[in-house]
Amino acid sequence: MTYARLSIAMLLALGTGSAAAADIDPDDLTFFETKIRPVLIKHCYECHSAAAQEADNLQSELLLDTRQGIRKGGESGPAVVPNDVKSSALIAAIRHESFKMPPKSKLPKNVIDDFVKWVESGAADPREGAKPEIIRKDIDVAAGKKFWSFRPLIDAAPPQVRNAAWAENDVDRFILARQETAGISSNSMVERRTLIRRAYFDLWGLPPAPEDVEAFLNDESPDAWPNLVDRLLDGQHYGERWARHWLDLARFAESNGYAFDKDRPAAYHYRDFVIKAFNADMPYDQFVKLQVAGDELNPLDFDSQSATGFIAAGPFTSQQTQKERERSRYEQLDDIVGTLGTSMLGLTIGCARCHDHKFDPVGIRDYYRLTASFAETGFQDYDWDPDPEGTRKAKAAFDAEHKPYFDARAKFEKEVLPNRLDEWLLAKAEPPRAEKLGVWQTIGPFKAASYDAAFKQQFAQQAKVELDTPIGELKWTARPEWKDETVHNTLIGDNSSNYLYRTIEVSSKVVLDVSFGCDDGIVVFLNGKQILSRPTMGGVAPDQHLVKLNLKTGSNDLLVKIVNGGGPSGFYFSAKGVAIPKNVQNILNIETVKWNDKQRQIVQKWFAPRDPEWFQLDREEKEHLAKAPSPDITKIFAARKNGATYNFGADTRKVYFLARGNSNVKTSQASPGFLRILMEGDHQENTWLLDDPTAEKPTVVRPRIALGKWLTETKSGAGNLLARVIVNRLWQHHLGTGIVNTPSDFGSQGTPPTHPLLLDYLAKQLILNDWKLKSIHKLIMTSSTYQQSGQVNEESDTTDPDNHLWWRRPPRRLEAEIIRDNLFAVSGTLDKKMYGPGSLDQATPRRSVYLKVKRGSLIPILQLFDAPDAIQSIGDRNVTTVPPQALAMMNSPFVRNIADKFSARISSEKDLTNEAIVGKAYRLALSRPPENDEVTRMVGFLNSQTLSYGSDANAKKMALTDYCQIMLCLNEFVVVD
Amino acid sequence: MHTATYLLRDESKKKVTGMPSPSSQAGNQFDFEQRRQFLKGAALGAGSLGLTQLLSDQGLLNDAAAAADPQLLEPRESHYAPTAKRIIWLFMPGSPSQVDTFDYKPELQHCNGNKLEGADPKTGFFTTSGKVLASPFKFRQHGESGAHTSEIFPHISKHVDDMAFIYSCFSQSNNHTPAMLEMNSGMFLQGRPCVGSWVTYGLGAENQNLPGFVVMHGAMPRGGKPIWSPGFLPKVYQPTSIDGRSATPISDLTRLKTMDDKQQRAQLDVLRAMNAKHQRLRPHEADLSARLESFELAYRMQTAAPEAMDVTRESEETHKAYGVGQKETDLVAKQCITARRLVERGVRFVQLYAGTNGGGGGVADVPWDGHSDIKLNHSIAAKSVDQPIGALLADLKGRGMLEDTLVIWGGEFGRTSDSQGSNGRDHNPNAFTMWMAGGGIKGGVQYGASDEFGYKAVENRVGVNDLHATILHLMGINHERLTYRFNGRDYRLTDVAGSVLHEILA
Repeated sequence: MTYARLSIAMLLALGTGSAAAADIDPDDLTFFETKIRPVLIKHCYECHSAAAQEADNLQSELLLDTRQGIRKGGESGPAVVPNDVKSSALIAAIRHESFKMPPKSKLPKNVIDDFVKWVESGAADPREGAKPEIIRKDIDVAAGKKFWSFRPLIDAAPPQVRNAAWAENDVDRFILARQETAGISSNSMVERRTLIRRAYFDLWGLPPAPEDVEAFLNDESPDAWPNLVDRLLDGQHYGERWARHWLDLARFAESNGYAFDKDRPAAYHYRDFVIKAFNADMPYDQFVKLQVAGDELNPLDFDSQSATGFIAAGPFTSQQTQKERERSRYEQLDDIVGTLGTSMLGLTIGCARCHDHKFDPVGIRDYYRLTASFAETGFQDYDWDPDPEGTRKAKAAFDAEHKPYFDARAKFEKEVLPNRLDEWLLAKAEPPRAEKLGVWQTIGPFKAASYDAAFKQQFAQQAKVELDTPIGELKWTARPEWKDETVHNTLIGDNSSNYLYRTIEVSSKVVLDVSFGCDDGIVVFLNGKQILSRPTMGGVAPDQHLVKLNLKTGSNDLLVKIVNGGGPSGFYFSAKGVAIPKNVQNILNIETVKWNDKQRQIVQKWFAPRDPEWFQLDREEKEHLAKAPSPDITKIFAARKNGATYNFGADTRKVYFLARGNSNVKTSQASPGFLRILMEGDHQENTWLLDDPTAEKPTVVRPRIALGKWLTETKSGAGNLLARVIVNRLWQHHLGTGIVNTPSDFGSQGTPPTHPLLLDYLAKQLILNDWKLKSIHKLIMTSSTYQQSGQVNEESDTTDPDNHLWWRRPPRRLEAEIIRDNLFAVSGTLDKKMYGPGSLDQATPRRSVYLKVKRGSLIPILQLFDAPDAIQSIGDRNVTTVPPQALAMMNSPFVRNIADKFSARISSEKDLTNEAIVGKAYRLALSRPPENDEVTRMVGFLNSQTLSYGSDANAKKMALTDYCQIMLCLNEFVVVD
Repeated sequence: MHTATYLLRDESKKKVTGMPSPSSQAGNQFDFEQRRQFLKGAALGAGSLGLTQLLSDQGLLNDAAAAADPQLLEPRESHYAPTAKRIIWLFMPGSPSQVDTFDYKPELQHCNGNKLEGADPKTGFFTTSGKVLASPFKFRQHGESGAHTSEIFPHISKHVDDMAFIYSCFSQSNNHTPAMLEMNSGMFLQGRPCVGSWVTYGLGAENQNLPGFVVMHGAMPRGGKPIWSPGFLPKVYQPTSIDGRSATPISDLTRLKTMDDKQQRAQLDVLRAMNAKHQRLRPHEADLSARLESFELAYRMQTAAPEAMDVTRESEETHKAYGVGQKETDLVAKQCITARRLVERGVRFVQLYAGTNGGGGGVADVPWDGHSDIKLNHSIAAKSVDQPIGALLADLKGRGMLEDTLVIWGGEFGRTSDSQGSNGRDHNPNAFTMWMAGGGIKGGVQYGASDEFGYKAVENRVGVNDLHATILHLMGINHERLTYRFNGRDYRLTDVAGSVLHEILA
């Protein structure tokens, strides 16, 4: 298959004016012919000449084999500008200052000097050619469409098979026919005990309870197996298990990544959406549409907003230098398009960012137009209101209710306040007070062992004073008689503390100067925050400590702790007032008559809080305002048109075609479009992008909505490929590997399907079943192919050692999350609470899917067992076995604690024999009873291990925990047949 | 089992997915079976730490390693004979200033305070003054090669004749974390494997003398563990990171306090018997055997690994030479000794993030970041690394190890030649200096050049891809042939670029 690289053809345009060789100074000509031309031929023409273009090897649209070509240059501008070394890109390139040319090795210094000299002296060049005209040869869409994954689904009838009895359904007929042709046979079915364990881990990621195993073993109904599959598919754990597979593909995380790794506290809604969608069996086409455009399709819908977490989940570098922003935006878009491509379509679209895809028919044009579908998209929290209509009504009602308060103050300001201000101005009095001081309240003395202890110890609630609550024997007492600006020496108690409390009310945020005196030490709290602490001992006097109180609007809490060593104790308080702001003072310095309206307004605004009546009206207005209904907002991290992203000015929400993916080299602006290989005709995107393509002035649909339609459209869009990719993923997670063994690469570099007709059959079934995934799960799981044992039979192994013909269903090691969930489940400590924000603590006994995914602090136990790092889309995890995993199982307090809980669970009944305990452990941990030799061995261990702890009172308990830990370390615990 | 699964996927590709096998005729054709065997070994043996090899070399684990998988001990050939068998990369996070360390620019002194022609005030993170800032440090020539070095490196300066200086480095990002990612993985984005992981992937655990990959640090450098991520490579190629300040640098390495050795051994004996029984019924599942043995390896590591990292076993002279016990140098001295102990025992790749926060704009996670006071910052940061690094080079040389140990020194970018504020320097991706020594590096070489102010690399410019190509080359790896398939694309450490700097090779 030839998917042509970008190539150009040069058209000869004859008769253009040119300098003939004869016009060139003979010395210059000699210089060119001896020093320049040979070098160009030897080092440059391979990639930059008409011959290179013929050979489909032209790079950067740059032709260096004619004078016209070299002067016009390529993507980076003129290669040679006569007499201008700085503007000649060729010189920078051979100097390795920009590009490194030639790429293999740098030219010798004397050769570079020759080129510089040549350019400096006019770049004489006799090579007559044509004005190069670039014609781009695009990718060959028609040829590309012949590749299997881009073809329509084949609706093949299941083949006839000889061993018809083995075939449970059509899936088996596709499988069996090929095995029969190859002359090999399938494995027998596994026993029910193994089957139920396999099914539980496949669908729920949890072990079956011993009762469930027994019930299934004793179920004589012919439908026992399909019934079990149905029950598991209907269970809530199904969504938790399968969401994790999708979250791998969505590179889901709850933080930005990079330096500082800022949290995205509202990002977990996406994870919940995926779980809900799987559990509700949301049609997959809808699932896809919501993830790319839910915010625009149903902006008021919680789940639709949450779904766009798919495109929002990529990393984001919150610390940015100016020079990085535009590049980072293109990286962000590349992440979105790349993730969408690999996860939904199984295509590596990102390769076409710098060049037409080398192997798959995806062109630069496709890449940038697809990217342009997200040009206006940013990401930020959406304030979701469960009842927007109710909120609107409540607000209207409140506004009406609030109006009298507002009006009363306004009326006063208009009719009374100006007179009050005039009166004060006439009187030339001190400015009236802006603050309203409450009555002192006091409690104490609290005795302590020493002065230091009294100073350090907290006796009363310092964060929030509760006047009605006694503290021990003591009660708060009001002291209306305590006047300010007076020394009060009436406190008592040696090595003890007294607390004083009052409110300070202001109508706006101001700084109030106050002073304290104290005998001995003093600590001051404003609104629960400590603002002064002086342990120095000594007598009380006025103004010993000057403090600025930063008051908030409304009531403030001032709490003073006076600490006494011995003898008399006392305090002093003075509010010095709020300093007159400079701009107000400036006006006050001017004669009143000379004030203009604006100056008068400023002064009146300052004066208002100092008028008790205004103060009261204002307080009433504010108090009422505080009762305004607030909608029950939930924040959802979601996509949004014009939402937040890197900002670099006018081009922030545009996408340009970039030369070689470099955001510094923009060509033209790209308009939204989709992959031509998955459309009919070049402009078919208009089918989705325009509401009515035949109309004279059709309305443009939002590009992401159109994208969702194209992705899921089976007649002429990407729908068939979309279906193939997802059914293959289902097969992969049930059987161990996919029918296409590269589940995120359905292109020519991926592996072709082992059973193309089966793949298409499954895809077709999905579409026929309204895109409901549960129907495909059931189809696969009720096949004999799925129910086979994992045993290896020599005959089949010789013919097909890689199991391409699916004659066995191999054992599989559990994924990291499931290993952890299994630990909690078996120990009986799993918290089954669903949804909601998660924790970073791996010891939190919720299912792993609910742990927080913070890119810079990934969960250690999950990382050990190959959980992804949430940076890129992962369709097929690596599975590794390394000693640190064993160390964690042997030595980590995490696992030991689980073993401890497990041992408590199996020994909770009284007077159990060790045999019985071992039996319980096996049934819980491995879904089977122990065999005789296992009982002997384990009981022997329990006995000798108990002895080894000697006279320790906990000997038996510790030995049992040691035993339980062994059970958790068994291969059988983490590898499911 | 599944380890083989992803290899099966590779097998079906015609693309190169690793080293060509020695037996393979076509240079690019890759022998799948051997690769599979190799990776099976790697899965078990490379570990996060390469401890398996380390311990094998000490004779502590030979039996277990051999029992685990005979393939583990089978040598795996590099593309050509390596000159470096191991690497110690001394990474100075926050980035030292080239013109205050090794790139001597007398023009700066002459033009101090003058306008710097062509300066771009937005070169770095903040905005610079555009005025030339002279180096506050004196420079002097050293050795036969006569390389200039700043007075802040009296110990390191003794070794200039073993070093190749590259004065013309540049990077693509002017921001710490992306630049560190680029320096380690060739790409300024998260998610690509770092060079240590690539080397471990390429050379793997085929030879018991060729170990894994260790990262050592004090304060976690900015960007955290993702800076040394194995990216999309299997997690066997992940380094073990060791916080030099921690008493228990490797997690779960210590047996639970509740049991003694005999009791744990009893546990493991039962486990081994049960796992063996389970495996006998599933003889084709190679991973089961690997997992069985991994518990035995882990058991032995509990005693052997702490020994390997125990610097108290070194002599008093060694301690003194490195600066153990001196407040300013203690941490880096211990880390450098540990690095030597690890490579001596066969760890292949050690990366050490070093430097005490010098203030003057530096903070703990980027200690060399002298935005506001380059003199204060670099005096302190340099003091913390100079003696230990000088001693490390001398020590390696004295043991005959320098000739096949590649030592690399540098930050993630350079600093501006004009001032930030009055006495600081901002980030500068356009020019910086790195040096390499040992492991096939030609000593006394001064390669490339920045302009007369040290502001931009102008002569023989060296990008990160070139550094990586050269490092892989020294390890015997052709950087164009070391690839890994991920999400449908064959990735290289050097992407589509990179040239080996033959001029600095011995």
